[in-house]
This record gives sequence, structure tokens and C-alpha cells, in this order.
Amino acid sequence: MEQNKKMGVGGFLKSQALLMVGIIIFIIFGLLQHSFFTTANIVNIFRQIAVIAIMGAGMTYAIIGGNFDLSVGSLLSLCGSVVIVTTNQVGQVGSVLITILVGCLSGVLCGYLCGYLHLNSMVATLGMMNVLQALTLMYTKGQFVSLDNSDLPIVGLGQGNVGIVPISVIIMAIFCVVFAIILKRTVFGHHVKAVGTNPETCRYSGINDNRIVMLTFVISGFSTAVAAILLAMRGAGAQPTMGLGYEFDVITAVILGGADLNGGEGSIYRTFVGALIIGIMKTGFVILGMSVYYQYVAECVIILLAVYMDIRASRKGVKK
Amino acid sequence: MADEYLLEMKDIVKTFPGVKALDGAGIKVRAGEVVALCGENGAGKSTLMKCLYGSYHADSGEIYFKGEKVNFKNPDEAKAAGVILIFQELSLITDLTVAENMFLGSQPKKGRSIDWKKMNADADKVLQDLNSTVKSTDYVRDLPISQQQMVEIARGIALGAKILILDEPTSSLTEREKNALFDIIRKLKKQGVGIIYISHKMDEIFDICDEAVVLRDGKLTGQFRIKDIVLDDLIQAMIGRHMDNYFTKCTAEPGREVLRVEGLTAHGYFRDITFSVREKEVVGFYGLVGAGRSEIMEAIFGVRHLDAGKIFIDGKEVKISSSVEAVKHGIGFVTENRKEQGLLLPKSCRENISLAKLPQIKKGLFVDDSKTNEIYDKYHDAMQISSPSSEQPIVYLSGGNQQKVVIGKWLAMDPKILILDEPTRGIDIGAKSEIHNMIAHLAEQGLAVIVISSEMPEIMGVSNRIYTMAQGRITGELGETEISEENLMRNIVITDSTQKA
Repeated sequence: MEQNKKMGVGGFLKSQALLMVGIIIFIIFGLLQHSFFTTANIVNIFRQIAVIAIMGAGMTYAIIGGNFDLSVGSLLSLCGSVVIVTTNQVGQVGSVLITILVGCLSGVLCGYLCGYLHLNSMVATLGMMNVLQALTLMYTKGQFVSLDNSDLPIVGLGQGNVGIVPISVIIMAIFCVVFAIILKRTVFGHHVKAVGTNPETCRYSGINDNRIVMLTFVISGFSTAVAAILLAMRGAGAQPTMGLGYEFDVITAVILGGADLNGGEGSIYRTFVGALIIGIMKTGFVILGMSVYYQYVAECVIILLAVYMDIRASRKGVKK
Repeated sequence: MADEYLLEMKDIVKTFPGVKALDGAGIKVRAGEVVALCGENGAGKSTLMKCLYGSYHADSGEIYFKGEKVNFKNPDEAKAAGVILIFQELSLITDLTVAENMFLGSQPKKGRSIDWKKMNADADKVLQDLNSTVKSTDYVRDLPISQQQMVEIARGIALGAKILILDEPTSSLTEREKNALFDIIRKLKKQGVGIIYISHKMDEIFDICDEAVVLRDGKLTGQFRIKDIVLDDLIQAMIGRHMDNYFTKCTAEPGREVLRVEGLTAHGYFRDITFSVREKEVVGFYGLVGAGRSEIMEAIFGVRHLDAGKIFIDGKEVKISSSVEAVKHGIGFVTENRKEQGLLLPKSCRENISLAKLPQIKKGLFVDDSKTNEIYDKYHDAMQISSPSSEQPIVYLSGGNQQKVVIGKWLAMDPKILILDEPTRGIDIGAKSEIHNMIAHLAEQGLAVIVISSEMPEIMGVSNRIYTMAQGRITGELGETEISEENLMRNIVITDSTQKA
């Protein structure tokens, strides 16, 4: 009982504070431009953030496990191209399976480098980022790839609606809920937090910390593959560089969500709210007709603020 | 003039929100004397020293230094006046040289640049005065811990220390290094430096100190001349009660053999290790730090690579290539580095104590919170863990309570074999004796227990049988009747002397 009460006051308020920030930004944009408050725009914001939120859910695991995955942007490009090309070659079901396999394999490789060989995740995934982008360009010969038949049901994943709700938003919702439950309730989820807090203690407690770290990367790769399918189907085609810069948005969402950059803590729900704030800002700048450059600056300011808050919060805790 | 004190702290009171940390504490130090500052964890030793050092400011009370009333506003002022505090965790910059560390922030200048020649020469002079083999141009990262500590002390001397405060200085030193440190302390005494020596180790206090100040619950219990007092009196002053059974030994008749290892070898760490442990038995491993004791246990627990050797559990040969398998075979391992390897510091007591057990108590796919609460409640009561709640982050508990949580984590696994590496390091004397009782009790209930300790009284007090080690080899096995200080001492230096001969 006592535990619930604590969650009610402390943890709950904290996550709501972030949501408040989102709502305030939303209202500011709305006052500047009234079309911002329309249902169509709100639906559009959610459609926009589906990709970031899904990838963010995966990235949350990697960051809680104590690592960054910088390869997700390039992997998004690769998987986007793969799903388009293989749909043309082997059909819809096969292409989805192959794409998810590609995402997971990339995760296995990153995970092996960071989890078993203990390479610094920044360096290892930075390398993977270049390798994956190069692979994408080789695979597509640098060309835009598109579906031969854009009437296939799979295109609905990117373009379809149920009522006014886009299918991609429904998938995002299911995805985030399932990943949140895995993180919060399962033994694996607890182990990810424990390994991110102190891998050595876990090893000395009979937990295979290397395997846990590897699995966090597999989850990140898997999420990216799912996001790539939605993004590619939205345009029924894929640029070989379509994932460029996505790693920044995704990591920003996780950090805004208050995940501990040293690992150990974080929440899928808060990452989702982080993604929502990014979506509101991106859409807002577009609607106001402001330059995309301002958007980069604004995003940068927000991420610096979030990191600063993270440092302050961790200083309050354990003295180091 | 004999009663002229170099330092006198009187009636110090310091209140933190909700806690009266110091309530009339004090200490008196004469020049050229070593005063031990004793007390259980939380008695206020560190707080008192921080009040002196300017890190904290006392609410009331008086501090006299060299006959004058002082009140240092910050550690820099204290240092400038000659009060030097050397923390348990060393604060050297490992990528700089010894001389750079010693004169950090006060380097001798030639014009605008550092006068390297003078700095190195000054540093070497101080080091030579301390009979140290360390050179001013050595990099700190290349020095063993003991010599790094020497550099810390040398830095204090270079700054002109009048009062030197050493906080648990021997916690990571070997016996030989400890003796070297004591030589330095004796030398400093002759130079008229007053030394405050904070330690839990009673033998050291009786070895090196002239007086002992005892704090209990923030109050000054008394200041005694060491030569007028015996161990039991000092302990009684610290805990406020007599400890009749300082050590309890397992008295059960040992049963069948649970663990046997043959010819274990890991190149560079240990070789040809053969021993066995039976149920209802506490087996001690005694040796100097670096003798390879912890490394053997790590290998048995599957976290260190083995080059050769066999492990048998319940008579059957087993291969243990990871800690996951070790746990499956019923082995529990309380490591010597509680904070680095035993605990998830920011996480709650409940999460820490149920960490290893999680895979066994899931309900379907999910963690069963009611089970983790049950585990916490059970061991909270059984081991008298004092924590305000199950959700208290473990980092805020005392060392003794943290250690109980680590032991509880393993007991929850219902192990056959429990390995405890330095189980009472950095733990106050009350909790120490509770843990000793617990070890005996667990063995009597049927557990096979292995204890590693560098403290001779502890290893003699808890073990039914002791293996001695030196330089990676087992040098002897002492049965219950053969355990004596002389035998232990002889066995752990055995390889040393044979090599010299």
C-alpha cells in the first residue's frame, strides 16, 4: 500500500510534469496558428510520431541497459529499402519476416560487440551506423525504390485508417503497451534495469549480463524494423537515406522521457511522451511555416535542458 | 607541558534534519601521539572529523588548535593550517606523476611556468624522509594501493601537516604494507605530528595508538590511555554492552562432502588447488591479500577462467562455465566488494534481496511482487536488517545492513554451498558479531560454508578447518585443534622464505 502511495505522489507527478510541458507547447502553437487544434492535425501528429515512438520503445531498453544504439537511423534506411524490394520479390508476408529478421540480426551484431566483447556502445554502433548506411546504398544502388503494386494490403500499414485513427498509430499503441509491460513486469525487464545499474553485481548474482545487453540491442533492432515497415509503406517506397538523423530524434525522445543516461532506469510511457513533444514541435514548426533550421536549434536546446535535468537528478542521489 | 594539547575539540554538537549526529563529542590530541577514534558505524566519527576539517560546521562546541580557537570554514583553510584528512578512498589523479599529485594546486613556479626541477626535488626529499622507494616522477597509476597511500601521506607532509587524520588506512593493505605504514606513522610521531587514526580493527589500535577516543551515538564515551585498557573494555565502551561471545563457532558434526576441487589452476593467479568442504562445516581460507583466495572462489563460481582442474559437487563432476550454472548447482557467493559486485546501490532493499531469485518466483511471465515482498519480510526479520522500509534504496543503509542484504539474497536461493569473501570488511563491531553468529548458525543447519578473511581473529573464530595460502598455492590445512596464530603465520609466509633460501 505504502508503495502505491509513493508512486502516486512522486513518480506519477514527475511523468505528468513532462506531459504538461507537451500540452503547454501544444497550446502555444495552437494560439499562434488556429489550424493546429483541428482533429486532422492532431491525427497527423500521432501519425508522425509512430515511427519515433516505436523506435524509442526499443531504444529505451538499450539505454536502460547502459548503452546507446546510434545505428538505428541507418538500420531504418536499410529495413525500409528491404521491405519494399522484398515485397516486390517474395510478397508481403515474406517481406515483413525478412525485414524483421534483418533488424534483429543487426541487433545481434551490435549486441555481440557491446555485450560480449564489451566494446563501447557509442563507438561500436557509430561504426554500425556507417556500415548499415553503406549496405543500404549498395543494396539499392543508391536509387529510390518503390512498390510495383501500391494496392497491396500491406500498404495499409502506412496509409490505412480505422475510422479516423491511422493503423500505424494503433500498431504504435499496441507496441508501446506490450513493451511497457515487458519492461515493468517480466523478469527480463527487471534484469535489464539491474544490468544497467551494475552489470558486475548481476554477474555475481547468477545473471547472464552479457546476454541481457545483447537482447536489448536485438529489441532495438526489432523495433526499428517494425518502424521501417510503417514508414516505407506510408510512401509505398523508400529513399536509401530515409532514416538519416532519426537516431537523434529517437534518443532525444528517450532522454526527454527521463531515462537515466548511465542506465538502470527509464519508462516506455515517458519515452512516448518525449516522442509526443518532438512530434508537436516538428508539426508546429511546419504549420507556422518556419525554417527547418530553427527546428534543429529548438530540438538541441530541449535535449540539452533534458540532459542537464538528468545530471541534476543524479547528483541528488548517490554522491560520486 | 605534558598536558598541552595540539588539538582539542570540546562539546561538539551537530544536527542534521531529523538526526542529532553529534551530541557532545570531542577529542584531544597531543603532538607526537596517535589517537584512535573508535565507535560503531554511525557513531559520528566521520561527522566529527568533517566538523574539524571544515566540510561541516558544528552547531555548537569549541575547537582549539595550537592553543588558539579555530573554526575552519572549508577544507582549504584546514589544509592551510596543517590539518590533513586522508580519506579511505584515495583521491589521487592516477594519470599524473607523484610530484604533480603532491603539489597539485601549489606547484613551485619559475616565472609563469612550473619549476619542475624544484618540484621533483622537493617531492623526493619528502619521500626519502618517509623511507619510501617511490620516486617523484613515477606515475601514480603504476603504483600499488599501499604506495599510493604513501603518496597521499607524503602530500600531507609536503603541505606541512600538523594533524594527520587517517580514515581506515589499512582496509586495502596487505600485512607487509600495513607494517610499512606503521613505520611511517612512528616516524611522523617523532616529527611531532599528531595523528587521528580511525579504524574498526582492534589489533591495529592496540598496536599503534597511544590513546583511544570512543564515540557512541554521537556522544563522547571516554578517552583512554591504550596501555591502561584491555580489548573487552574498549569494545564495551563502543557498544555499551559486554560481548561475552565475541565469536561463535559451528559445533555440529560435519556431514558428507558437498564440494571437492582437484588441481584447479588459473595461470598467473593460482595453481594446483585441491580442497574439500563438507556440510555443517565452516572452512576458512587465510592468506595475505593477493594470495589468490578470491580468485579461486571466482573460478568455482564460474566468473573466472580455469586452465585446469576438476570441480565435484555432491561427488559428481560438474562443469561451471558461468555464474548462472554456479547458482543452478547451489553455490552462493558473497564477494569482498560489496558495493561494486554485491549490490545495486540505487535500488531498493527488496529489489536487491530478491535479485538472484527472480527467475524462480515468476508467476507466468511476470515477476510476482508479493513473493519479492515475502522474501524481504522473511530475511528482514531473520537477519534483523534495520531499514525503514522495503523500498529504501540500499545505498542509504549502513555497511552491516548492506552486507546482511547480500547474504539474505543468497539464503533466499537456498544454497548448498555459501562462499563469503571478507564478510565483515568495513562493518561495525556489533553487526560483525551478528554476522559471525549467522555463519555458525547456517553451517549448523546443514550448509557448507567457505569463509575468506584477512583478519586472523575472525578466521580463527569462525572456522572449523582452515586452508592457508601463499602466492597462489595452498600451503597447509589446519584441523580444529591445530588452529593457532603461530601455525597460521608460519603457513602464509612459507613460500616467501623458501624462495629466499
